[in-house]
Amino acid sequence: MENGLFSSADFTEWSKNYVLYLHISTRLEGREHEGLFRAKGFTGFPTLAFLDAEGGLCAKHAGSRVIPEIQTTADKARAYMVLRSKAASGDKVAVQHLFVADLELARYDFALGSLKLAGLRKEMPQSLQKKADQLMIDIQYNELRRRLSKELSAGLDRKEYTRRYQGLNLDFYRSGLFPSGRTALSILMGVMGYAFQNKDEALLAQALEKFKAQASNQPGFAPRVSRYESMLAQLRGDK
Amino acid sequence: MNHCKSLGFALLGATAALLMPVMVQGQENKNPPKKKLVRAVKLTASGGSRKPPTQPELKQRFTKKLEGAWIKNAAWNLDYEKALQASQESGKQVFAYFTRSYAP
Repeated sequence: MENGLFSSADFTEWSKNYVLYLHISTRLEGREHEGLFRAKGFTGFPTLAFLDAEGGLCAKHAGSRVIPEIQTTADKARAYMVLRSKAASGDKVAVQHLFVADLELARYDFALGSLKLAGLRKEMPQSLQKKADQLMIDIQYNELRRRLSKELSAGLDRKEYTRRYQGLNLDFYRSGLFPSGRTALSILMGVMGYAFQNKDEALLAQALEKFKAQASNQPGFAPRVSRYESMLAQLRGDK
Repeated sequence: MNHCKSLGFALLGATAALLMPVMVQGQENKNPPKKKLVRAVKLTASGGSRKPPTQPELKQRFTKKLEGAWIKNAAWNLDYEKALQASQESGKQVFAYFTRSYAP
């Protein structure tokens, strides 16, 4: 990206409509704003984002790193700011949509998000409620996962970490609360692995059905399914 | 794009495969994990044998990053407060690029 997009004349031209900010995480001690990347809730390098004049996150870029797609994210950021001013002026529908937009940007933790959702839920249309509920599951999973990672960094034994991580995935699986996207697939693969190792045929069969339903559009799906199917057959044959 | 999806999927599988043998330790496990996987888990647990870079090394990496020709191709601001102030004054949004110098 640095030697491609950021070195192009098109980028020089496009960037004139924005204030450019470059943040470099260095791990140098005592450097100002060294922790900004984490503070914004970002997890992977590189990250492109649009911020308001207070430094608040308005949109995080998730598509290809080309100007037309980045412009789409910029438009989303602009729309978010418009939504925010509408909400500030008392528009009730805008307040509901802003809440969901803020959940998407992970501007609320699980506790505060739950509280706000409880206050807004009654007036929200069902489709928006559903979206908010899914985002809350994502936030809850990420919080618990991050807490566990912090414990690992603080010296938690890796075996204990793995045990707790598996426990977390099993809890989400059993509750039927699935985070969105690939995290759900990761949980299902972890559960299937656990089921195989523990010779829990019923659990493996059940998780495999869910996996088939959720991963059918993923590349590399077929070989993975046949691998889990043969694991299941092995368990059935072992009986 | 599809290539990226495949890679992501492969990584998910690798993570699940890596965790699978360890998660049953301490319980009754009659199928001992394969040696290769155990090695991979041990390597991950120890973080490898590489020494973390020293502060002068990190400083050097940071300086090298700042020497990139691409930085001069646009008006990048390295000062957070100044960037926000410029946004306030101009009414323009901040386009932020978060990268790192401590690792490639």
